[in-house]
Amino acid sequence: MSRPLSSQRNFDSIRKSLNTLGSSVSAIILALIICGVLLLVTGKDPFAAYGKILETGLTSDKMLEMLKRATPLIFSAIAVAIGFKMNLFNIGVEGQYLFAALIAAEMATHVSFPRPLHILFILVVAMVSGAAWASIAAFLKISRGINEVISTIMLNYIALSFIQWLFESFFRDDSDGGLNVKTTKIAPSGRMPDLVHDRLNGMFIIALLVAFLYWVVVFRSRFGFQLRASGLNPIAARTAGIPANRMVLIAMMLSGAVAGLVAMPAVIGDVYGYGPSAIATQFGFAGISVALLGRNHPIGIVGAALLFGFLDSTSAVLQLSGIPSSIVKVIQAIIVLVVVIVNEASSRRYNRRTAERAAMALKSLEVKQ
Amino acid sequence: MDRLKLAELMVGSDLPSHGKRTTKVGEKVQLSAHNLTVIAKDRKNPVRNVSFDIFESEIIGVAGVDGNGQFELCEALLGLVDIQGTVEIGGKDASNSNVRQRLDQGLAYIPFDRHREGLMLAASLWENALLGHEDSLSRGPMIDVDAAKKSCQEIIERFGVMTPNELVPAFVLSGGNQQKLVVGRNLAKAPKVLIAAHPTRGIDVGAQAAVWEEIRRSRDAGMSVLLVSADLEEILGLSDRILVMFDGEISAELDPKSATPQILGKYMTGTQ
Repeated sequence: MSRPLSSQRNFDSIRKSLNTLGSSVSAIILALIICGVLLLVTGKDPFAAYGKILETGLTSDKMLEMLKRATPLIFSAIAVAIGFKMNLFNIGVEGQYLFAALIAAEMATHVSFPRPLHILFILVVAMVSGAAWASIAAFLKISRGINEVISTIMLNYIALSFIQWLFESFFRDDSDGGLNVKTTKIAPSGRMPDLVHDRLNGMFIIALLVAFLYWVVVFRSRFGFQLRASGLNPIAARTAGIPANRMVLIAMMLSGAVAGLVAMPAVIGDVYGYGPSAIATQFGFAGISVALLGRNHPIGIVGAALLFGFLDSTSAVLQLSGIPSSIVKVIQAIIVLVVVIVNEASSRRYNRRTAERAAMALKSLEVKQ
Repeated sequence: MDRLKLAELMVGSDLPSHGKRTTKVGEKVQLSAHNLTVIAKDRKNPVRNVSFDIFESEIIGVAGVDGNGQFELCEALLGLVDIQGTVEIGGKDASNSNVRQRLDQGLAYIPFDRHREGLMLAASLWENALLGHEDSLSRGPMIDVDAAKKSCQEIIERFGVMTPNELVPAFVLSGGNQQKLVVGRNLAKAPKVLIAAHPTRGIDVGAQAAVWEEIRRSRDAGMSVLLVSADLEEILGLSDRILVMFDGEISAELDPKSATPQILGKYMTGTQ
């Protein structure tokens, strides 16, 4: 009796992975077709556009850029996914990472440590700052029942103004004399080493590490189980003695901590400080798309971040050859939309098939007995 | 041909007959509520001044029309709502303990609605069996997946859950098998006290008989049970004593040997 069971098992897990991969790939292809039609309607040649994207995107130069652009997206998407896993919508990654970037960049200039420690210190400060900012939304939810979607969106605006005030009043360093004002430059001991000179820094490795840790914590640890249980059925989780408020607080702070790393590739790898025009924005929102596309799974998220990074890396070249670069953003948006729809449809089909298979497996067991 | 005979023919085996028990009720109080009142902010307190003691190896049935405070009583005993009065589990005051602490003190709870309060339908059976037992099935901060799966296989085996394996999601099971899983999850760790709310609601007679048998067996091993049910046959068949709840209060305490559905019905509707 154990033989058919074990073969059924392996088959089940493979079937599930294939189903996920298949639905994501078919969604991407479908999105490309829809974008092609859009391009055609606006009088551009879709084949030329896609050809150009592939042609430029697959050069080693652009591949490095893809990895670089994927790095903050991985952090951002993991941050969002931690919340998603317990039905907690952290739309505030944007504010959390910009706040963390400023605080970490400023704190980095007030200490002197040898290299690895200095870098570690900056990363820890960034994570603590991100977590602290995110915890505001958690406290509002726990004590006043305020929906975190509303509070995190609002806190983004508060963060932006607060950061601007902090920066202009205290942290701004004009000694450079340029127009591009920043905080005081971080000492070399606090700078992340490059993997490829001037093209890609070590934060990419840290992003992969964070994705792996996300998997370990969320899918393998006791805390992760309680987190997922709270998302799958909050009432059952509460009835089983999983404290809802504490889970909200910890999940939100973990999410904020990872969000705090989003700007680190720039802060300690590129800019060596914080400046309003030097640190890119919008990663918080892009992370939501990447998390959705990656289905909150670390491998999916890394894959989706690479895809977005790949598309982003080609947009400048597209512009040069007369294809509007915004087509990249359109493709990304359509991919996410289509993926959400296709996922829903395919998971229903998958669920129905799973139920049928279970019924069949039961029947065959009964016959054998 | 009566109902029992019909049910026996349907499941193909003798159903355990009602009422007969060979073991005795113990001496030790395992669960006690004293002047228990559930505080509600926006309405009349749903449970008022409820007191009872349940002894070792005793089943107390709580009969009542749904919505007369049974649900809130269970939540209060479990630690989910604000209360006045005291709750003692195994002789120790648990009034200020949280849910997890009470479960660790030996309490188990079969909830009213297995879909709403019991199961994560999209999750696998072994993860569902793990819910509430994470602490004992972990190694350090990590879930011991092998142990959790093994524990689920044991529940499947012992409680006769019809499933191809423990990896399928809970939604593929029939209602009766889902209920057996919930019952199994709560009885597997041999709790001292079981709160069983509608343990056999909406399941077939075969599964019902199996659940009753398991509750009886655990009772014989010393477990105390607070059985909340709308099924009067279940109440009369399993209970050693019957409390009737009406409008948030205990309106009567009856002996199942002399009680009948008619008598219960009168107290349940407040006409007596």
